This record gives sequence, C-alpha cells and structure tokens, in this order.
Amino acid sequence: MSHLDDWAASLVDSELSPAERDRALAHLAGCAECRAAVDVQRRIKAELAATAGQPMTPSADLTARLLAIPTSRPEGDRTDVVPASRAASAVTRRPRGSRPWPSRGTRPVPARRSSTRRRAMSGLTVLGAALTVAVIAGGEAPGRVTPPVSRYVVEHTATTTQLPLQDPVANVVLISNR
Amino acid sequence: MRRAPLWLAVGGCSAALLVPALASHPSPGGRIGDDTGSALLERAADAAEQLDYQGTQFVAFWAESGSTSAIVEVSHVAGEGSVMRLEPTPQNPAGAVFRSGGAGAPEVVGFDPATLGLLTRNYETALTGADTVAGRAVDVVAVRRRGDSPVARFWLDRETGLVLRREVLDGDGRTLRASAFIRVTFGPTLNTTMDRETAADTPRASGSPLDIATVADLRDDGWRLPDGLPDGLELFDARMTGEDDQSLLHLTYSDGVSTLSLFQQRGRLDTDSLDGFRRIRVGGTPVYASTTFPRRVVWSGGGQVFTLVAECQQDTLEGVIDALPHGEPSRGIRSRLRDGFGRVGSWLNPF
Repeated sequence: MSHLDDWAASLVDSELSPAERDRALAHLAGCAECRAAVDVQRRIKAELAATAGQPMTPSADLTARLLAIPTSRPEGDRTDVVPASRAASAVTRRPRGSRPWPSRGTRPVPARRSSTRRRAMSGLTVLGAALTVAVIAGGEAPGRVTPPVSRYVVEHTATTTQLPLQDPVANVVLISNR
Repeated sequence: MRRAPLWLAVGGCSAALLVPALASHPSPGGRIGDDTGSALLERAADAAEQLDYQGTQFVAFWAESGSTSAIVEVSHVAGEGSVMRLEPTPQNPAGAVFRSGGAGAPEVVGFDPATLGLLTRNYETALTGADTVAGRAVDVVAVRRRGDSPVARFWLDRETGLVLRREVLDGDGRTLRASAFIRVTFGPTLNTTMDRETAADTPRASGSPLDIATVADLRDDGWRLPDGLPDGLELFDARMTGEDDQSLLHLTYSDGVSTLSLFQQRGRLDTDSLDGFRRIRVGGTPVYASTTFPRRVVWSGGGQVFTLVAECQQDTLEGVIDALPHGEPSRGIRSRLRDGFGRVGSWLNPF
C-alpha cells in the first residue's frame, strides 16, 4: 500500500481500529500528500458538521452524498487499498527491525499512483464545486429596501376605515357651508 | 400645519362654534366599570348604521410636528353607507370625497361593532356627565384602562345615540385626535349632491384578507404574524400583496381605541432614501421615526424591514417595537453554507 486513500476518510471519521490508526498516523508522518488529503477531509467534515447542526438544514441527503464520495469507488479498483483486517495483521506480522510501512516492496507502480491522484483530484473537484454552489445558493445579504411609507399610511386608513387626513391632504381647510 | 395657525385659519366664525365645543368638559360623576357606558356605546354603533343623518364635522389630529385639521361634510343613508367630502383648500383645491360602507361613517363614530368588542374587553367605560354638542343634549362616556386616566371620551346624542363628538387622548391627557359635529340633522337628506359624488379618493386596502392556513404557512416561512401585541392590541386584519422578494405583508391591530398597522418586507432598511425620518432610540433600539400623525416608525431585523403606522400612545408604541426583531443576522461563510445547503436540499427534494 502506497497511500491512505480511503483510509483518510476513515481516519478523520475515527473509524479505524487502534492498530490501524497507529499505522495510518505512522504513514502520515512521512507522506505529505496523504497529510494534505487528510487535512482536506477534516475541513470538509468540520463544515458539514457545522451545517448539519443548524435547524434550517434539510440537506442530510446531500451531506451523505458528499461524505460518500471517497468511498464510492468501484469494487474492482481497490487493489491498492489494504482492508482493515489485513492491515492490522500486516502490522502485527511486521518483522522486528524492519522499516515501518510502507515498505519498499509495496511501493505502487507509477500508473496506479497516477490513477489514485486523478480520483482524489476528481473527488476534491466535486467537493469544491458543491461548496461553491452552496455558497452561491446561500446568497448575499437581503436586498436594501426603502418602504413606501406614504402608501402604507393610505393602506392603514383603508383597513382601519379612517379618513386619510395625512399628507398631502393634511392641511387646514376652510369652512364652506354650501 | 402648526397648531397656532390652525385656529387662525379656521376663522372667527368657525372658532366661535368649535372652541366652546372642544373646550368644555362635563363634570365627572359616573362610576367607572358599570355597564352604562358600554351600553351607550353599543347604542351609538347601532345608531351610526341605522340612522339617516347629515352634518358638518370638524376633525383634527395633533402630533409632535404640529396639527392637522379638516372640515368634513358627512351624509349617511341607512343601509347604503356614508359619503364624506373634505372641503377644498388652497393646498388641495379639488377637495376630496370618500365613501364608506353600511356600518356608518367611522370617522364619526370611531369604532364599529367589531372594534367595539375589543374596546369593552380592554377598557373600562362609564357615563361621566352631560354636555351639549351642536345644540343637542349629550351624555359623556369616558374610556380608560383600570386605574389610568381616560384614553378616549365620547359625547353621545341623548335622543338618537349617535356620537356627536369624540376625543382620543395620550397617557398625559393631551388630545391626539378629535372630531365634533358643528351642525347635524337627522332624517332623509334633501340635498342629493352628496349622493352623486364619485368618491374616487376612497382608500382601498390592497390584496385580500388571508385565511388561517395561509397565515400558518407564512409563519413557517419566517414571517412575523403575532396574534397580539402589547397592551391588548389584537390582530383583526392580515393581507399580503406581491410575490417572492416583492411580497408585502400588512397586519392591522386594534384594542378598540388605538389602531396600528405593521408592514413587513424581505430585506434590510435602506436608510439613505428615508425622507422625513430621524434616527432615535426606543428602549435602546435604534429605529427611524417621523413625528407626523399617524406615527411612522421604520427599522429592519431578522432579514425583514418593519414599518409601523400607529395611532396609539407612546408607551404602547415602544412596547410593540420592543416585541419585534431587531438587528441583522450574521452573514459569514457558515451562514451562507447553511442557507445554501438548505436551498440545494430543497431543490433535490422539494417535498
């Protein structure tokens, strides 16, 4: 195994076993690419958590879709992913004195690594687009309004059935007893 | 128009008629809380609707900025309604003509059967004395909150029951609104001129009254539709015009004496375009107010612009302002993300 891939999301979600977590953290110590991926996952999760906690959020479905993106790859394309059970056993079987994972013998071939990057980039692009859409859909602050108060006064006199003696009628009138 | 020129402009002849009518006070003697006052007011509401009457009425308003007055010719035909003609002036040479429905001339009575129910629920009424208005004997009924000074007085024709004079007062005993007949006759009218008036100036409320289901939906959408406001103001009319961002909600409240309209629009207040308003603080809250009558107060809060058009006492107005939202919510990235995800979610699942 060369990179954390799906483990990044599992690590952020605290879904790894203690042994798996130790192994993943050990990998992060030496892999800047995976550190960046985990950092992105943490930020997205924090934003979604803040959003999901609000009462006006009917977007649980959308949130679930976004969170599901890193784990939605086809089953046949998981050759570079170590299942949790195997990863744990690999840690326990690691020969004493050998280098911590990843070992030289498990370095990925360049083509597979490139594919992983493309998938990661695709996922990040989708996430970025979703967040951009959300920010745009969230809209700007409410528009500026100048209430037509004189018209409101007329409406007020209509619903209260009073004479509309405010401006411009609001002037003294002369008595004219016709 | 300022208060001093008001009396000068009315003229000596009219002043001779009006000043005694508006300045005289009956001696108190009635018992607050008995049923006599409310019974007389109910009789007045019936008389305004069921009698034929014509006359000339003086109407005046007082506000911080000055006063406004008018001479109004009133003609009411039982079962048909009223026509009120404001006499022409140099400022308004064409005059104005208004028509109201069959419940009598509201400007004459000051209440209708619906708002009379609010009045008797929120106030104590009592017969407090006798007087004379337009040469006719009248009974005087005072309206007040328990233990407070009067907020309104009505002079009721002893023979017919019609309201011949009325005053609405503020909490300090100053007159806010007054009207009085200086001439009145009863029976079928001989002058048919008023009957032919087109009444083109009659204000008509926009939109239709909302039903209960729509009110509930609007509340779910974040509009403010309180059933009541401080000091016994009760919602008796709600209507909406326009759609989407142009929607305008108009709520009308009354306690039987005071009336107040609350208008709401989506958005935030553009203070640069407000003419005739000044920034004041009400209970620590900044609002924009005009000193004209009726009172007008504008502010924004919670994504809505609120406008109050009020004919009520200052304490009541302050209580109403305090009971409504103020200030705008934060529009940071989280707020926009929250609203955006909510909106996208509604697109994906509109149900």
